Amino acid sequence: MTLREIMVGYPASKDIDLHPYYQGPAGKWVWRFYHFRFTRAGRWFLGLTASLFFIISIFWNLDTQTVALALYLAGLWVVSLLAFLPVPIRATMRHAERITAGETLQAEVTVENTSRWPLADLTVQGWGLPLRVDAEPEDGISLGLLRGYESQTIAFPLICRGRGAYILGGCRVLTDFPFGLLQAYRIQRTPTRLIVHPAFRPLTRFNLPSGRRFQPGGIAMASQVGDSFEYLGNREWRDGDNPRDIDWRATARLSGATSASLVVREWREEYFLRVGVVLDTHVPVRPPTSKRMFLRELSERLPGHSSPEKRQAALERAVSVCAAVSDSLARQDYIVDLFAAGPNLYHLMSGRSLAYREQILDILACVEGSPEEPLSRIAPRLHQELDRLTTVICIVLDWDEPRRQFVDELRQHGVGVKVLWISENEEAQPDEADLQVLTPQMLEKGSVDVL
Amino acid sequence: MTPHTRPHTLPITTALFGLGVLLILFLVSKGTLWLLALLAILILASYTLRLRLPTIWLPSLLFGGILLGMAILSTPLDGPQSPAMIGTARATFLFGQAMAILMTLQFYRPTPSDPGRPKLFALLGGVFSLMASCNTFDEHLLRFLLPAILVVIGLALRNLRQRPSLQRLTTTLLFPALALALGTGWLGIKTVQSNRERLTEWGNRFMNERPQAELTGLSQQPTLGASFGARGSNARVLRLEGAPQIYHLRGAAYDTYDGSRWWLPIPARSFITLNPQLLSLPAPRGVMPNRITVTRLQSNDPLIFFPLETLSLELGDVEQMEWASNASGPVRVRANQPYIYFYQEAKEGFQGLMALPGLPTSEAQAKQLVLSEEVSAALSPLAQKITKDAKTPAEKVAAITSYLLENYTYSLNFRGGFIFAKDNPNVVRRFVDGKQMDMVIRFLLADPKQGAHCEYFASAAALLLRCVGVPTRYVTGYFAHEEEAPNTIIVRQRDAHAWCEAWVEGKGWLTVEATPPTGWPEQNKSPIEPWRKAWEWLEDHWQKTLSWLADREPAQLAMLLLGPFALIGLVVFWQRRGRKAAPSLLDFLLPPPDLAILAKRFEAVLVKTGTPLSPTEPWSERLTSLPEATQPTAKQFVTLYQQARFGGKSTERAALEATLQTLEGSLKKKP
Repeated sequence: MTLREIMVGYPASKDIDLHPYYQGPAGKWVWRFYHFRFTRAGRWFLGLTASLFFIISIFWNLDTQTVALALYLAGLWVVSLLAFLPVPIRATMRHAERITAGETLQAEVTVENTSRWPLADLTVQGWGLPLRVDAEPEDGISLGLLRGYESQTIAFPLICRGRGAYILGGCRVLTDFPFGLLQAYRIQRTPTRLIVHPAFRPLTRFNLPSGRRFQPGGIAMASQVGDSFEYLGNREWRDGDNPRDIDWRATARLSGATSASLVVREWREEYFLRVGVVLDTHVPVRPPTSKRMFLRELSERLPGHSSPEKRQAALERAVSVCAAVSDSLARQDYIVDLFAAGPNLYHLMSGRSLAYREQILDILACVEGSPEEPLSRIAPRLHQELDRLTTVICIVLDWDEPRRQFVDELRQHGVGVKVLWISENEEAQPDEADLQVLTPQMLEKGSVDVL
Repeated sequence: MTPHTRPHTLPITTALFGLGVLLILFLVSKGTLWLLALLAILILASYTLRLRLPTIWLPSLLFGGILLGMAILSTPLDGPQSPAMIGTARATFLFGQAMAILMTLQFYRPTPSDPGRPKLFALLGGVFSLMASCNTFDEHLLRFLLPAILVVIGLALRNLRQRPSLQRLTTTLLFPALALALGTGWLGIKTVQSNRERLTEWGNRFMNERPQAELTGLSQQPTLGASFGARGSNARVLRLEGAPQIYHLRGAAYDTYDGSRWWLPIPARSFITLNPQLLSLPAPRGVMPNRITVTRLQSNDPLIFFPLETLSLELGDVEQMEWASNASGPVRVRANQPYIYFYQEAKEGFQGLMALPGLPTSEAQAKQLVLSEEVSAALSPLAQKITKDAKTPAEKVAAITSYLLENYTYSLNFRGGFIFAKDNPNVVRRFVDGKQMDMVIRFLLADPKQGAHCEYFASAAALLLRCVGVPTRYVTGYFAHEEEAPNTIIVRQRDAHAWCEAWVEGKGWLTVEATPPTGWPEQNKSPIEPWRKAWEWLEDHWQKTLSWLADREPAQLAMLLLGPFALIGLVVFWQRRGRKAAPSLLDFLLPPPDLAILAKRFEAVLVKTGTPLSPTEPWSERLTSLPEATQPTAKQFVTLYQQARFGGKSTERAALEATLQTLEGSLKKKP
């Protein structure tokens, strides 16, 4: 992080608690004072005024007109101190709870002047926003003047740059009246939840391998008596048939022609197939500082070498692929068992409800990189469910021995296994029939429609 | 410059501010800075011209460099109003013009990425330029213009941020705010003006940059007070270079003592201008004069300082020297600080320039012997007692000096208001019967004896010597002792000192140092703080840089300022050249130059036959458009070309050339 990023590169709308350098209360206070009280022009102008006073103090000749200029500029600052008065403003922010990464959330902010005096030059800025949610524009949206007891509602766009489950702190209404040097503000703390789903490109076709075990291994589609099954046809009564299935009309129609045997309707029960999706979330821990420089150099010199940054990027692509696969499976009436680890172990067996896709995306929004090998954590839980799974799709970030072993064990259980390797670089090559490599370029181009 | 469909212009308030600043600088410089008119035109033209400078690129640098060069040429070497400016007027105006150029350039900056930056830079450049204009004592013009420009600054500051169009109510609120700011500024100015003296003193004391004249004995009129209690500041006054041997640097001398004061005050003296030719005496035999360079640093005191034994004075940077004709000095100068002058010192005891005229006239002698009745009555018995064994004036001087040195101690505080009871030192009683009594008498007759500072010792020595018929005068100046570097002595305000000079028959004027050694400035010094030394180092180097720049010709300055631009240009040129020289992937894909020429010629042949050749169209598909007779030759050329280009056979170039010539020849013959 450069000095510029530390000092001014961190926008005022962001949550200071997330800043790596301003950790202590004094540092946070300084940052807030610097960013919340001063405008950009104010910061520069303060430096200029200070340098003017410095020059005066060096010469210390009160007969020069520099003193007059400095005092007039000081007059501007004195009037700007109005900014330290409280701002009689109330604001409320509303927005949708879910959105997809890369999209703009159209929040709505209502600002109300609670006093009878007009307030000029009002601006609405974000406050306590997460790092990957940006207000657009960053400087805020100008409201102009609000008369006494007047309220105004404005659209407040927030660009969601990355998936995640976030808390939006609220908004800050400020005014830099009269000279745009200092800002009076009121922070409206209205923490709201925002889940940003991973962005993904829907698959046009997803080929699912089948296992060697008895099919189906899923759940009956009819969840209660009265649900319709697929009608196959009529046949004669056999002992043991359910009397409820007797087709009396057909029996009546056929009673004259043949022997008076009963005719029953035949149904075929339908099953959802259960498919397991295992998401590899392994992102190695950043090594200590002493080794970091060396490893950074190494990663630059050796393009194939893994680095936390590259792995994190691969994880993001893997999450997107996982979302695309889950979406595709959901559209094909499969039941998806999602297994992911990082930081918690997630196992979601999505049911038949409409929110099923949403649930998967919610989990994918929350998944983070795991410093430990996640497959070792997933394996015990997966083995419990393995008898009921027909196919397991493994989305892995690497293709090393532990992962091979994990996949081999699954195959030995007789489930169909499809491995999608989200590689960190372009050089990765598949060495197995069921292994498909998805390189960064393929995913960035958006050329992955069929898997 | 690059053309833009729409000129990006700065807000009208910023333009107004810029034009106002240019106008102020132009007026303050008495119309000498003609470049400002050009800048004003450029600012106005930016609203109609559709040309904008590329950001940080050669044309931008060149444009700025040219304007800067013009600024250097347009700045007069010595402005007519320079006495009204602090520092060198040329440097001030040059800085102001450079900032005005910076401001003007912002009007020609495209602002697609950061619309706020040019506005901000224009404003800051303008304020810096304004600061240069305000660096003057002349208030007639600025008194009225500054409030007006402040209103424009306020409005321009508002426009640094994008806002909705100004509503009437906002305007109604804005103008009282501006008026309030103006009023606050005006109130501040009035407060400063009414408390000017106090603030100056406060500043002097805390900033340590000015002489605390009243506290150091270098006042316009030395007055003996009941207490001293403060020492001079650490501010530097003089720098002596050239290994000076005489440390008493004489400033002013006073002949008459009355009412605990020395007379005449310096402002009451009449000065005559000295002829520089008369400021030199012939060197005595066997004396090698020592030439000392004196740099007068910060001080508003117009006096110059040099020893009694000065052989000659050179003006240096000093415009004019004046001598107080009705007293024994001082020498007053007219010069802008810091300035340099030179003196040559002879050996101690030499009757130098300040000892002239050698023998005091009867009128002068009368003044230098005069005593008030009170002083004479009180001190004569003591003086007689001290000098009872002394026969000659020199012996009298020695006796009185010894008496003071042996019997009195040095103290910054003289408790002259009280005197202790003879029998019990712990009991104090008011001195004499409450009647006002001369301070020197109190000092000399107190029992037990009280400590005092150098002014008392100098005055006491002078008056006691007068009591025994030795003409004396009271002298204030500095005691130079602090070595800054080898052969260099620095003199600070705290080194201010007082002593007396006595006329000794046969020897002339002698310096009489009656202050006990513990009271000499060299004994009282406290170490100079490291921050002050660092600050002084900065001051010196800044001053050296300024002096060096002031000595340059305009052309040299232009070269100096344009040098960095030229250097950047060279670096950019070199980088671009290097970039071009690096092989690119395209170079590998393109045919070698000799083949490329042949290919072009062949394509020209194909084009002559009909429609233009498409870039993706292979030659072999166009061969049919050639006359039937030439087609085999053309086909042969294509085959040979493919072999040469991709087959790695370089020997067939001649055949390729021959085939192409045949083809061209046959096509020419055809018509």
